[in-house]
Amino acid sequence: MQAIPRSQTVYIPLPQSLSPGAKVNLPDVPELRQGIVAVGFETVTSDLLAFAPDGTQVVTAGDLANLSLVLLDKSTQRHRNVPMLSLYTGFTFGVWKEVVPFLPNWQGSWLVSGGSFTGGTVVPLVVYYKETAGR
Amino acid sequence: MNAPGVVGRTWEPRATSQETFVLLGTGKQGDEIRFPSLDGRTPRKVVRLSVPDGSDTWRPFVPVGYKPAEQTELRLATLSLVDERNTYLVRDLPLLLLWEQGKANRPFARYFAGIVPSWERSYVTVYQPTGVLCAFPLLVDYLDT
Repeated sequence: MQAIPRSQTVYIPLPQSLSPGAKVNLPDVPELRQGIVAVGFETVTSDLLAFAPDGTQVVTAGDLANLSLVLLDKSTQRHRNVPMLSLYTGFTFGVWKEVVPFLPNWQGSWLVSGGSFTGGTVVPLVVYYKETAGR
Repeated sequence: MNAPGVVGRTWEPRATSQETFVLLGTGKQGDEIRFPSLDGRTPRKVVRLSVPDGSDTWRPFVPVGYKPAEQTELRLATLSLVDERNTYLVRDLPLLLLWEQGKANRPFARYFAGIVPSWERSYVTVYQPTGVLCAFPLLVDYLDT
């Protein structure tokens, strides 16, 4: 793993209920919209973080297993249907997922559900990134 | 604050370690806890951060009188590091991602590319105080600048 240049945790709120095929758009991340490239990702479950800053409960590992991630680079699906559990470092001895650096299109990206479950929780996505020239 | 047996436990070439203790458990939701023991320290290039498990037999170092923070408390908090320009270097990193639990063979820690935080501006956010005062060690490995 490379050394971490910078990091920010993005919180993705889930609706109250999800069904198979349901899409959950990622929130905008103004701080990471330009002048950076993402170099890696990981997520945590309620085992490692209980609450988001707004007090919402963090998703359980059981519910996270229903979700996969589609990350866009502009309009291209750069990372398609990444199982969220594969980004959960509680299962990987702390090894986080490195990617070829790119600038994510946050609002164009989404989570997709593969099952039905009660939501109302939040998925933390830890983004490792570095600044590009001109920021 | 340096604890006996900790100084010199280095993981990076030319890195030295310094340990500080952060107190959790009191206050209210959203409180930002600072690092008083690091205030005024010369800025250093941080290359590794970890939270050694205070209850481990190999790491029993927490201040006398304080309960070592455990997973129950650590999962309620995140770490944010801010530099002198008020720019976030690390924002809301769950503390348990830094947790090294020797007995359970969880080598969690995170390696950083020589970030230089201002300890006066950096903080731990507690999302739900438990009411029990406890402490955890934050092990900072840094390069001399």
